[in-house]
Amino acid sequence: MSGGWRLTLRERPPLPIEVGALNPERLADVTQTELERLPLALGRRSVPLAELMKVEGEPGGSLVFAGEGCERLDGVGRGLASGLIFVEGDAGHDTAAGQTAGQVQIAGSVRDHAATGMRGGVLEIGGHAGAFLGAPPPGERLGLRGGLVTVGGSVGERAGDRMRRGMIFVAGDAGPACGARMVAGTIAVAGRLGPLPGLRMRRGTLIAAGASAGTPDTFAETGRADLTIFRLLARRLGAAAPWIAPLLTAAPLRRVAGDLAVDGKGEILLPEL
Amino acid sequence: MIVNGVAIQDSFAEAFGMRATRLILTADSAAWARIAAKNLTGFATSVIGCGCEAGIERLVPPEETPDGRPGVAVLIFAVNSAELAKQVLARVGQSVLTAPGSACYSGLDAPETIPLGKSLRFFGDGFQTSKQILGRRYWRVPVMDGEFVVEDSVGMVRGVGGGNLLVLGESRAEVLAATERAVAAIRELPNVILPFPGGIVRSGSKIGSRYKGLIASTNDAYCPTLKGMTASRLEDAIGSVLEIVIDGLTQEDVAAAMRAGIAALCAVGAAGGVRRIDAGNYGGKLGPFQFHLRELAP
Repeated sequence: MSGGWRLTLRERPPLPIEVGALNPERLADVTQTELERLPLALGRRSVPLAELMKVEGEPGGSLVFAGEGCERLDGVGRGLASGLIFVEGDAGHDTAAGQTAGQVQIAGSVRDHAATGMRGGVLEIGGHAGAFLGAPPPGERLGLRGGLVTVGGSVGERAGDRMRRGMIFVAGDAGPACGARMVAGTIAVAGRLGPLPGLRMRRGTLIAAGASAGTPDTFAETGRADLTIFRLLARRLGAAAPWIAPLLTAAPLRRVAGDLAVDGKGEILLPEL
Repeated sequence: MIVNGVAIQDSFAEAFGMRATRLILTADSAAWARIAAKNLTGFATSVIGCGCEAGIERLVPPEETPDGRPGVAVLIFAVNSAELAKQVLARVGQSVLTAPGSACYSGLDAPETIPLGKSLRFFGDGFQTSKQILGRRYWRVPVMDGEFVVEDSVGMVRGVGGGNLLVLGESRAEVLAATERAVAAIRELPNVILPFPGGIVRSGSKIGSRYKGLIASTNDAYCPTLKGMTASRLEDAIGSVLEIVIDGLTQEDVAAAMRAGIAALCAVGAAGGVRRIDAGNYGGKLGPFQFHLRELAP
């Protein structure tokens, strides 16, 4: 990815700032002066970007957010369709919301609603993610509809709520109701699942390497699952999450199918009791 | 032109455009992958009577297969895309789906595809599910030993069918031994198959017959027992003729295979009983591809 803008916060913003309009594609044709004058909403005020951030670099395929207070940046990578956005710290709410392609990398953690309505591309979160990762945007029926989300830490409640397609890999633990109302897709968690995993899931796969608080009563035991599809997943996704291959190809996992209260074609894979 | 005592006829093989696909079959062991592949490619020697021509291209080691298990690559050729789709669906459905532990994937990335799992999934009777991984869709069909995994669609390309070599020699045993060496040399190459039993045809055919309704009949000009009774193309010393038919993904692949075969036969030479190398054609009037033997000679 050659060239790009680097935006460094001058100080920790007093209020959250919506930066969804800032992405490499939209900033490909602007000059430094134009970028510095770009209005950003700070509470009820509109302020020029240069008042909040130092601008360096040139138009290119990447955009970097740096400086203290990046956790106040909401909507990083919103609707991203190409290029790379990198945050040298934490990010705020709605990270990668509606992303369709390209790559968003967050060195630290993100707050709630990351990857909400995401349709494609890659979101990499080095730290933790808040609640409703990959869940539907307000007023919509479906959550994650494509793409790959990797989380280096843990995720909050209802990760993957109503997700329709795509993959979420969590290297830590997952909060309550992970994969609730899933329509399809795959969630793999290297740690533990919180209560009520996969509640009302119709299809899709939820995998956890750690012990779980238990599955809803509306799931049926189907025994040890030594299935080819998991070898395929391990093979094709090993590069994105190296911990997933041993999880999927070691000893067969215990498989429960459900949620039989709805379509019942989903599955949860757990370590043997 | 004579190489090591072997006359290379001033002739050419005439080949045709075909539609082709490559499947990767995997199983829990290499033995079961081979069983599935052999069944899938069985009774697929000629499009005339079998609907397609198919064969094992190579064994695929676990590190190269989509699911990390032992695999076999097979190539399937048919006269058009509709027939190819029909043959692939029927053969995978009867010979791979049924084989314990098997899975079936596309072995070609091509803009054109034919449906496979998209159709086979209905065997799951509503219990089937799919999983899309990095842009490719796989169907999971519940079966009695677990699940049959099959890719939604497989790539299709324009291939070349009907490259051939005729091996003429003194005795049946010598010609067979020499032809086996040529087959072994060709099978080292990628992107080609030899669809006949063991890669060899002993019943080369001509177009038409004196009997109504038969579209092909024995190639009497190359039958040693008919010398003197027909317009034979065999000299007195020739006691046996065998043919190698080659299908490849490209014209270059077929040419490379023929080149390897000719080289192997010439290495055997007259001392091994090989007298002449010829090729089958239709006067250049039917097939768009011509492979001239002397251009491929060592």
